[in-house]
Amino acid sequence: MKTSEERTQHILEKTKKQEALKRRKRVKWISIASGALALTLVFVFSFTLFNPSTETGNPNDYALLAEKIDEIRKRSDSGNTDQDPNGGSDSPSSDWSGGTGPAGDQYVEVTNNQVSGIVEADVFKRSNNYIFYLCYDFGKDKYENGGWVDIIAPYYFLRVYSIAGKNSALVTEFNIPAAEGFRYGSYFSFIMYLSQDCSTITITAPCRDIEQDVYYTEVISIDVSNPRAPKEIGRTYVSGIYKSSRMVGETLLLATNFTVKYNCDFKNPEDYVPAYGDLMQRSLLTMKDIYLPENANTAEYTVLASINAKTLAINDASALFSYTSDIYVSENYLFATYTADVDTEIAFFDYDEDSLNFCGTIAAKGTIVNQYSMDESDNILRVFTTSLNDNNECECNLQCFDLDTFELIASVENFSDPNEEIMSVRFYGDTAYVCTAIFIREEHIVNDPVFEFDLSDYDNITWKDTGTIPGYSLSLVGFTDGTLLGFGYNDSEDTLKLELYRTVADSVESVAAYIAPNTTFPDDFKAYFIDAENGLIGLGIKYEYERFRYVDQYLLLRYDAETQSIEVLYTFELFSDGYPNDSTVVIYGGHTYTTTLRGCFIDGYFYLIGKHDFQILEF
Amino acid sequence: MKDCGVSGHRFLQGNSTGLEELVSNYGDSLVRFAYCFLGDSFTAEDVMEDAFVALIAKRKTFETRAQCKAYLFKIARNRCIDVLRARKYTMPLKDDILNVLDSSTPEDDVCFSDRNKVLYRCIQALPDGYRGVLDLVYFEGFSVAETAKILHKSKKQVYNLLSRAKSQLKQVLIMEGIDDENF
Repeated sequence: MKTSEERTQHILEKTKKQEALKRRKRVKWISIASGALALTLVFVFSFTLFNPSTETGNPNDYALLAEKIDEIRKRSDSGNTDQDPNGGSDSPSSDWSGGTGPAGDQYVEVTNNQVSGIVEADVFKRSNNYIFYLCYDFGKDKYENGGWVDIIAPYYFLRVYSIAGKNSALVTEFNIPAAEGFRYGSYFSFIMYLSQDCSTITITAPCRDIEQDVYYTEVISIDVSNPRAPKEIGRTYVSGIYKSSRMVGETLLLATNFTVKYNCDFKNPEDYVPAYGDLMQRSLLTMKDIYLPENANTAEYTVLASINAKTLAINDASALFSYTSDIYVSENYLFATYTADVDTEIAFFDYDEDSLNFCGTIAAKGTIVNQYSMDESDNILRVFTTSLNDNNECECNLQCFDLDTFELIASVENFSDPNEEIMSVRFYGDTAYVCTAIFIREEHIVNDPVFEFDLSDYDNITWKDTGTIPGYSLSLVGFTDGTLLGFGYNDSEDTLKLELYRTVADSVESVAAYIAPNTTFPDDFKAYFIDAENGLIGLGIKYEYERFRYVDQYLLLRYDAETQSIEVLYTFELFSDGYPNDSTVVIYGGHTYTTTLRGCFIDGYFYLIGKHDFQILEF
Repeated sequence: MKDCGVSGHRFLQGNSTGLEELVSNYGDSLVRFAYCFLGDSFTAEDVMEDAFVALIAKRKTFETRAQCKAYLFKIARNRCIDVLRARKYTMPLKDDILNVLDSSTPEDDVCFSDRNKVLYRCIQALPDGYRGVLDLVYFEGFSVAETAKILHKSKKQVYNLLSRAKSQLKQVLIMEGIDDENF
């Protein structure tokens, strides 16, 4: 081992080298800056106000990444899409220094979060005194000279309602236009958070740079310490289209999906490397922040950013190449998934207030449904998957991984009948509820059992089930009186079924069900109103009352424990101007999309909030 | 052990012996800590040097010895992560650990007793995540809160890691033929 004197000598030599390198860089930048200044003076009047700059990466630093992208591009028949959700445009980020919430106001959690304390975003948030609701307006355009031209560009708006029973009212509507040179274009993927002190709304919205035709996710901070007069604080940007997010304390964990432009220029890392930052400076991720899996097969990333929701400072950022993920966040880790062919690679990061640190990856057999398929408890990740056997039949599995050692410590393989696949999962501590289903296409029949797993002892995992029941659940959630509530379909996928289950001695039984034929509903679990305490359920539906004739409604239902039945308490008719109410279910190409209708029950009143609706029902 | 804050202060005032004192105080510890992550004594030495280079570049002042030490370990940990990401995994050299257990000063050799050397060797048999936390808490004397800051984890995660690490270490010690509970 070296002596202290030898070490000190080495350290001083290294320091001198580093300082010399910095000096050379300073000289280089001074020269460039001088040149740039000269050019600026010449061309100053031709510059627009918006002039973003990116910390330019050295193409040599990204050689491995470029090689991978090129390989995928050549291999792929369809190649990458013509979209390029590439980063970042800018707006001033400000040093937000103020604000606490309105006096006497308290945050009230209304979102059905997977993990307590890990808040998920939604278009609806509330405090004791106010309801906050985020909407999108398509704007107005006209056809002119062979194309459509904006009269009013699309924008978002934040509505604030006072909570006062029958006297509740809209107190303000705050418009949020796109930054100069940018355009909002997505009806989906806009969401918000309300800070715990009720002083700040944090919004994420998909946004497009018009000139460069690139996409990014914009994060906007709004001061609502005076809810009647909101003020914008600032904006920051992350490459890619919004995928998912969580708020932990004041830290926003954001995940976006960034696709590399098909004809990207490998000499210009900005074309294929995600970026993040504010108005005048954005930074490219370095190679050490990009995880490149061995079996990468698509030229896109899941970009992860840790952002201070108050100041909009980006604490840390990473990217997972070729990932198109589901995101699950536990108290200790953030998980992102990548399905390569038939198996799932799960990358995980530990996080705190100001960093996001890559820990490693594990490989799960099969594919997951969504974030609810995973649960981390005491450093063990439990995952339910559907896999294919050698006969191409579906099998349902449970796998448990130790996140310290990356080892599989327990598993249950093929626990359901042949060809069943997992449709929904919900963990509550060491109990997991799983709904599987088998599709008998020829008879257009769907059947499911619901399983209950006991995971308290990994050496002896046990389970029981309902046996075969018509239909399946897309979403499972704990409900009143020790029951489990499933939102799903009956024996065909145009019949809504809400079903309650209860565990008995050695099985799970169906307690009550509500079935509505010719009815579709959103598959976004955040759109469901669930009040376990009062046994209330609410959701927007689209009812086909005649062939190809639909009506939008919102159903408020209640579970009656005495009669063990689920009944409709009230059917809200929604605003209609002859067009579908765009707060409700959208059926497009056979797919059901999110509804932005929300319901909540406060002090004896039920509030229904939508883009065109604000209705109050007194109980 | 000399006061880091005083040594550091002297160094920042241009007194070169201040730096040598800092290196003498913390050099070996930093190398051992980096070794827990890297399994390679040569790279661990580089990481230790990089931590001091970062300290010099920052020109930070510290009021207490504890702050200076924690800062150095935090830099070392970050640098280890950089190294691990940048390179493919390499097997540690046989007997490489001996390079880490010998010390650069006779004084430190006395402090790092035979018992500690055995313990340290056993710790290297544990999974990655456990080595660093045990080194920081039991060899370097950092509190759980300080350890959490250095490793970018929550206190809860550190407690959990310590509990699991001790449990596994016990198994390793038994396999080494050491079953004295007071060890």
